[in-house]
Amino acid sequence: MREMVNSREFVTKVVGGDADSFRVLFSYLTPKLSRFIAGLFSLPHQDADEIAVDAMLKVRRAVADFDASRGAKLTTWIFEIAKNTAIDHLRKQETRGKFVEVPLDDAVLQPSNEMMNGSSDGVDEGRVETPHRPEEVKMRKALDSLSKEDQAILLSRLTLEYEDIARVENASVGTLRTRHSRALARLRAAYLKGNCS
Amino acid sequence: MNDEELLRILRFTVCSDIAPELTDQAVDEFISASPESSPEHLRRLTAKFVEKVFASIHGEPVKDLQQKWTFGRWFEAMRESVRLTRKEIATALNQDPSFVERLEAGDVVPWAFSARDIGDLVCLFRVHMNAVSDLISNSIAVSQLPGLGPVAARSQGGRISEARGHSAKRALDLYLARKAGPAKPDQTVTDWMSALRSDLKRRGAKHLL
Repeated sequence: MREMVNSREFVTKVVGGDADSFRVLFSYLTPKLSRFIAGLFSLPHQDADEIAVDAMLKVRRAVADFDASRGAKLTTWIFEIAKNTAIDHLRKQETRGKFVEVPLDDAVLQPSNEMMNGSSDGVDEGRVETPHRPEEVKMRKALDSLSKEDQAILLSRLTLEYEDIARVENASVGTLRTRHSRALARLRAAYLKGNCS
Repeated sequence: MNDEELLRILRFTVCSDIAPELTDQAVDEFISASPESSPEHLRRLTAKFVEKVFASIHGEPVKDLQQKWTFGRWFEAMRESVRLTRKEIATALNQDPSFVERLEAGDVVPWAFSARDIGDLVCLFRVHMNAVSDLISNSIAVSQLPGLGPVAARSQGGRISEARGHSAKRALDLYLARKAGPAKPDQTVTDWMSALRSDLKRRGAKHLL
C-alpha cells in the first residue's frame, strides 16, 4: 500500500484533485500520522488526532502544488506537514497556555519545491516563530554532523520500539540496540564538543 | 551528560521548528512498522475531518441561501461543493448513508426526521436557523404541489437510467422550489421547528440561533 500511494499514477490522481484517491490516502495515512505525532510529541491521542486531521486538510488544499518530479515522496511530504502542524499547535499552546484548535485560515501556499530546498513543507500558514533554546541549536548542529545511518536510528527510536524497527529492517533487536547506543555516544560527543567551542 | 538528558534535548530539537526534515527512510520505516488502524479510529478521524471542512468554509454560519433550494437539495449541493461523499457525511453524523440519501433526495420530508438528527446536520454544516426556516419553507411549497411522482429520464438509447432519473429529479426540485409560491407551515412543522430550536439551544449552538 505504501508503494501504491507513492506510485506515479496514484500521485498524479491525487495532485489532479481526484476525490476518491484523496479518500484512499486519508484512510491509509491519517491514523498513521496521528500515531506518529502522538509518539514524537508525547501527546494524548485525541490531540494527535486533531493535528493529524488539520494536516490532512492542509494536504487537501496544497496537494495541487506537490511536485513529484524533483524526487519528493508524497508520504514524506505529508509527514513533514503533519510534523510542522504539530509544532505550530504546540507553539501556540505555549503562548496561549492551553491546547486550542487552530482555525485554518486561507493557506499561503508555496511551491512544494521549497521543501526540497530544506526550508519548509511548502505549506506556510502563519508559522509562529519563537526564539530557539541554545541547547536545541547545538543539538541540531550535533545531529547534522552525524552520518545518515546514525541520524536514522536516533530519529526512528523516538517513535518506534526496537522490535518494530527490527521487523522492518530485518535486523536483530540486539544489533539495533548496539547501533543506537553507538549513535547516541557520537551524538553526545558532538553535542559536548559544540558546548566547548 | 546522561542518556536521559541527551534524549530529552534531542526530542525537544526534533519537535522544534529547527528540526531536521524527515527523510524518506524514516517515514517509510514508520509507515511499515505502524499497525493498521481500527475502524473506530478511522471513523473518528473522518468525522473530525468533515467537521473541519465545513468549519473552514463556513466561518460564519450560513444565513442567506442566495437562491431558493429545497432542504435536501441544498445540503446535497453543499456536500458536493466540498467533494465529500454521503458516507463521509453519514460518518460525521453517526448515521447510515441511507439517512443522508433520503434526506438529500427529498424522499422523506425534513420534519419527518427527529429534531435531534436534523440538529446534528445543521450543526455540522453550520447553518443558521434563518436559512433552515427558508429551506423548510421551500420544501413545504414543493411538497404541496399536486401531481408529483417518481421522476424517470430516458437516455438516448431509450432506456431509463437511474442516475439520469436522479439528475432529472434534482433539476425538477430546483425548478419547482424557484417557481413555488410562499408556503405557510402547518402546526406539525411549526412544532418541529420549535423542537429544532430547543435542540440547538440545548447543545449550546447559539451561533446558529
